[in-house]
Amino acid sequence: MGKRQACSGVTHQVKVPRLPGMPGIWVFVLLDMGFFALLFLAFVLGQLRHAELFAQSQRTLDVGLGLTNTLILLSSSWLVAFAVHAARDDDRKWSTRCLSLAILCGVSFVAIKVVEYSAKFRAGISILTNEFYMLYFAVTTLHLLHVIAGTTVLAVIAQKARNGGYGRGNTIGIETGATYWHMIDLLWVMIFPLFYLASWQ
Amino acid sequence: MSIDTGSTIKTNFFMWRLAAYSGCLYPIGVGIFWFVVAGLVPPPLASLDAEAIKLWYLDNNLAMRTGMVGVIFFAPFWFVWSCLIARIIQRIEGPNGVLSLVQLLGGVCTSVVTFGAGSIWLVASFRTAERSPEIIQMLNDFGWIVFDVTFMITVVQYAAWGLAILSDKRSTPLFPRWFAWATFADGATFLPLVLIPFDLTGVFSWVGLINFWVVFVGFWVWCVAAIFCIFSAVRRVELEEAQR
Repeated sequence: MGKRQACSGVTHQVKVPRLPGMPGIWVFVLLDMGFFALLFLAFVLGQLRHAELFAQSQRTLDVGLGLTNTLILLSSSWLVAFAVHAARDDDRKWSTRCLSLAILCGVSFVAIKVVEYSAKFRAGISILTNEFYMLYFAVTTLHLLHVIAGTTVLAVIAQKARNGGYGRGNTIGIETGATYWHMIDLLWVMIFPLFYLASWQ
Repeated sequence: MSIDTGSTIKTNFFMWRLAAYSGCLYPIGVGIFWFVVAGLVPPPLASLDAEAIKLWYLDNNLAMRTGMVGVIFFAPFWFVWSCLIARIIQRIEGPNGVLSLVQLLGGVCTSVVTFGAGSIWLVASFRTAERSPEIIQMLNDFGWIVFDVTFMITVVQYAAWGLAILSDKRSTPLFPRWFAWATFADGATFLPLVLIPFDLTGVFSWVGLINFWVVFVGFWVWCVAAIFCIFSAVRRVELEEAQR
């Protein structure tokens, strides 16, 4: 928020630097990412201990669908960032539009994940198959729950944006939701190469 | 800004502070009896067969019996804390809110889970030599399923508490907002506990990196923050009432 300073009869708008959104969301983001970092560590340790099993299981993952989901999330993050900028410029139309498209991206991500999991289940693969699949399903499902929660958050802020709830100097709410969404995107950008692509052989 | 709680009766803040102090006995008491007396750092592997787990219970018999008596003993102090937190939440949401009730019931059920699981493990440690290994293994498994897989009870308590904190419109909220987010984050670490029944050997087993170390260390670290925030909230309510 800007502060006004009176200086020899002239007022200046002084911008005080701040983190976007509510400060508390950054506490949550850091802790949540720390938790995922431990999950990634567990995966890497698994890869080191069972290199052949992990490599073999990794080859059954659908890289095409994973890549599609990566592009979907990256696009959605761009849309959300654009929505925040539009809100800061009092552009209700574009902030609402971009958030709606981002919600569509979130729903698409979930749909593709359902397709991906269904294919695995049909092939007789489940969380009990081996350690690789235990970690794969656990981590991607936990991330998927974050995506569902994030899409819900986007829907709430899109509704508020539609009703003119955000504007210049009043964007804490939309920034908070956006921060959470960017974290979800960042997590996937780490999950995709680690689980689908990286091979230690 | 203060909410009219609809009561003109003066609050007994001595009792509030007593509840705040005695609530601390949960993390302290359960912590000492779990980690130091029973020595469950970490507990025996989920993958142990019946013979091995009976042997473990025989080798650690006195420690487990004493430790579990302690865990059961200190379990109720969690709901004492929850009663105090419910009263503080009422100062945020008013007398007709639901969050204080949800938080309280979550707290009561968390105490039940603590003494329930403690009782089951105590039975496993009692007359161990006379029972078959299969029974000991079943009791050990039973305790872990009750203790861990029922995590949503505590997550729901946390969610109600956190939501109440975030809805506080005071310029200086009774609980700091970062504590709400830290509480949500601690609750989030419980979610992988759904995998307890599916993983006997890996990071998601009840002794694994994620489902034991992260959950237990995370909880006790969160407790340190909770202790400070609860005492400070009591002080703030007391000041607010004095200014009325």
